[in-house]
Amino acid sequence: MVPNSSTDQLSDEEIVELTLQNKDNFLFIINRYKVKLYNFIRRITKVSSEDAEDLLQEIFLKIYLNLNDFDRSLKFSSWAYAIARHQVISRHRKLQARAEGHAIALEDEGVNKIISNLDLQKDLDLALQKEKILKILDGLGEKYREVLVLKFLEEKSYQEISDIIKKPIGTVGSMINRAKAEFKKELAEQKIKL
Amino acid sequence: MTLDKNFGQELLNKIDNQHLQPKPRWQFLLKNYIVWLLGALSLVLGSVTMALVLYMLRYDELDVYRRAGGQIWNEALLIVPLFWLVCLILFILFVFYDFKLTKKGYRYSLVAVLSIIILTSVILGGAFHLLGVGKIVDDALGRRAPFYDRIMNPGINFWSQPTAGRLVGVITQQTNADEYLLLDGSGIRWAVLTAGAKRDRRAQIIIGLPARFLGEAQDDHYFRAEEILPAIPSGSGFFLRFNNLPPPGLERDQEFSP
Repeated sequence: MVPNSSTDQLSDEEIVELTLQNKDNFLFIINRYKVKLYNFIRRITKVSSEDAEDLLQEIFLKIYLNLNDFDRSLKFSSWAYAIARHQVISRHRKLQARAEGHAIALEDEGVNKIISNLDLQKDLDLALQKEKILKILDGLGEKYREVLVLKFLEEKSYQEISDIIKKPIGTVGSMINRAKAEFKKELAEQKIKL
Repeated sequence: MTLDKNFGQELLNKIDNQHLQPKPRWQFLLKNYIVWLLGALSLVLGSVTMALVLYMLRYDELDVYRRAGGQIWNEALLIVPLFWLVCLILFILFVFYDFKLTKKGYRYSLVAVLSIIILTSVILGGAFHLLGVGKIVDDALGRRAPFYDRIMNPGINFWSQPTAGRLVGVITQQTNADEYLLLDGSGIRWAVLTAGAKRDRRAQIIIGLPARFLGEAQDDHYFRAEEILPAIPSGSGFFLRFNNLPPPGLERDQEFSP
């Protein structure tokens, strides 16, 4: 196994190569992505934290088993997110039956990102503002919610989103525009002032 | 974030305990090759289908069908090779779906992918048509395919109705200057009288090859032709199903004996 200190310098792709030589190096991939993918799961589906952790474990196992299928011309993160998304979708119905609360988990940092990216007015009461944003995101269709999460919370580029949701880049652009328009329409319809 | 601190190590232990290994690379490569191979095969088959469509549409038949008393919608259904067009659409859709299954197929838009597949089918199909592939496949299917005259080439069925004044079949013998023997699609032998019949400039009566007539059926399998038409654009293989046919191009008055 590669010493812990030197892995920070390594790219994801290099760690993949090292994992194929020694499975223990997979721990570096897990540590690098566990929080990101956990948040991603919680942001695109309404599952409990226990279910999200189970799902995360399945996702990493799938990544490990399919390491030889990773296409080096793509970013590793896009490939990992695509697997996560696929896994979430395939277990979506089952998990949604046990879902509670809001459609997504949103942290304060996420609220600020959405406010600045959608040109919304910043409120003093962040908790209240967060509640309102969650209400609107709940009302959006899944595909719109997903692209908004990828663009503004996960801060992925159009190309990365295209590689994650497996749609042409032009379609990604129009989906994001429509999602933004839907978000603003929901704001007006629910008479929410931000 | 409530993720277990030991999440990573527990997962590695699970991998160890279950002796899990990454799937070998050849499995993924094989899957990719199969996807590409199926796509290429479907593209070639689609192009052969396009060659068949071009082969069957190579004459303007509208006027001929009108003179034969066809109804406008029926004419369209008989002239346009619907069966092959449906097959062509299915092949195109299969190639499209298959391409989307390739590693980066999702990156290209529906319009771009479909346009390239259709354009390739037209170019390759056109080349196959020029090389005579359409005729070869049509002849082969005509000889063997079940329901060929009803599904793949319903024009044969339309022209095989002597009581409605339409007759198609293979000329087996020339018995007089204006009299021929013809074997139709049901295996019935007709004496066709062509004296005074109008002849389309493209029409040829050659022993061993199909011919088509408009006229009137008389008793005892006599058919008085009023018009000699060029053979239907496709289906010559169909008439070769009947054994005992003469080789094409026998001289006049030569009797063909099986």
